[in-house]
Amino acid sequence: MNTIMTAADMPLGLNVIEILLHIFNFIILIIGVRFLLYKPIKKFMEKRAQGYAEEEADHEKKKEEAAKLRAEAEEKIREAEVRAAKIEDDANANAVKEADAILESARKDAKEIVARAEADMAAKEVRERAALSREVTSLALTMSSKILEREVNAEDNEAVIAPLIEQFRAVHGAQSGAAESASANKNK
Amino acid sequence: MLTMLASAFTDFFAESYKEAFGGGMSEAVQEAIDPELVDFFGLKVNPSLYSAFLGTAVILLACLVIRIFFIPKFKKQPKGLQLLLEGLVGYFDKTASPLKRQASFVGPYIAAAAIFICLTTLAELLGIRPAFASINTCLAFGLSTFFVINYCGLREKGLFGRAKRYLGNPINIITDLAVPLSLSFRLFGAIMSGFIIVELVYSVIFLSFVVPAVVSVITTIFHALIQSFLFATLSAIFIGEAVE
Repeated sequence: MNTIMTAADMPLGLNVIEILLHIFNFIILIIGVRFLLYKPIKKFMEKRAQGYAEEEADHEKKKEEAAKLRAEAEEKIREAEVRAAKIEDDANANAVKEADAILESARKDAKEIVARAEADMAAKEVRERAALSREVTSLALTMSSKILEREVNAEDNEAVIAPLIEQFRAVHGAQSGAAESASANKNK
Repeated sequence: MLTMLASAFTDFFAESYKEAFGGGMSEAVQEAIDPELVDFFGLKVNPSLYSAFLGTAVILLACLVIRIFFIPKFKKQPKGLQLLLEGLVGYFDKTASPLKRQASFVGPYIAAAAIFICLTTLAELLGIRPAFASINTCLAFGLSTFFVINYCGLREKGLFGRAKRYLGNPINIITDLAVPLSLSFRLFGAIMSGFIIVELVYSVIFLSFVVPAVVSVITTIFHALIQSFLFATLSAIFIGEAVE
């Protein structure tokens, strides 16, 4: 036993006991490093990595949800757009219908106004005719009274009657002009 | 005649060398390679064993402090120490992740190995003997990886699957047996050489002013980082090979 242990006998001081002591020392070191340093740090790192992975998964899930919500919102917007277009079309159709109705009633009103105006005109004509005939009658009366009052010669007669006739003509002309304008209105 | 001339030349060279650099060099190398053994419960052991125990104690204490005072205060957004720790754990976890079922065991294993190699080698800057300046430490780590490789291989493939690998291609026996040796000797060579170079530099008076600032960076810090990275990566690769 002693021969193995003495370093001088072995090359380079080789010593089995020393090797075993070193191995024992190394084993203690490995155990210490493993349980005091390596494992706790590795556990910490793994926990952190796991936390990050979880966060990432959560993030991914949230992203997916957001995408879904977005798609839904887009769908809603599209529907709303379609509905809005429909409402607009309906409103346009209604407006056209209303405008047509208004136009129709306006035309009717215009026709009525024209008809009333024509009736008024006819009544006026009747009245004027009556007034004219009365005037002519009074004129004839005046004329005949003037003729009966004095000795009438041809020249006088002419001198008296001519302005009367002229007067009559003027009245008559005015009357026929009024009739013409009334007929023109009717044609319109 | 020729041999005499050669020996005369080397003697002359050694003499002039000694005159130029002082006599401490060979002693420094001797001390680095074969240090005075210290007592460990009646057992004569290499002082590297104490360095290893000290390294383990410091790392476990730091882990305890971190576990009690810092981990409960961890925030969602890492900063400072938390960033460093998360970076380390994340890196080892990623390295071990192809091992599936074994990852929860192999991750802490390579993490512990890498932290230990890095810190005990950097302890050289404080004047503490690096733990890996002893072949026993390096062999212990190589053998540990060898055990882990076979344990994971057996757990994943079963006895028959493991045996098929060797029966189908017997060269695999040598390949697998070479793994602990290559891991151990790589560690030992790299760290021992760096240690010897720094010791040499310190042993020569006129080199021990500014030169160590450069040499330590190259031999100690680079070795510490590269060897811990290499050990972790190679262990992960070999275990992955056994599991596949």
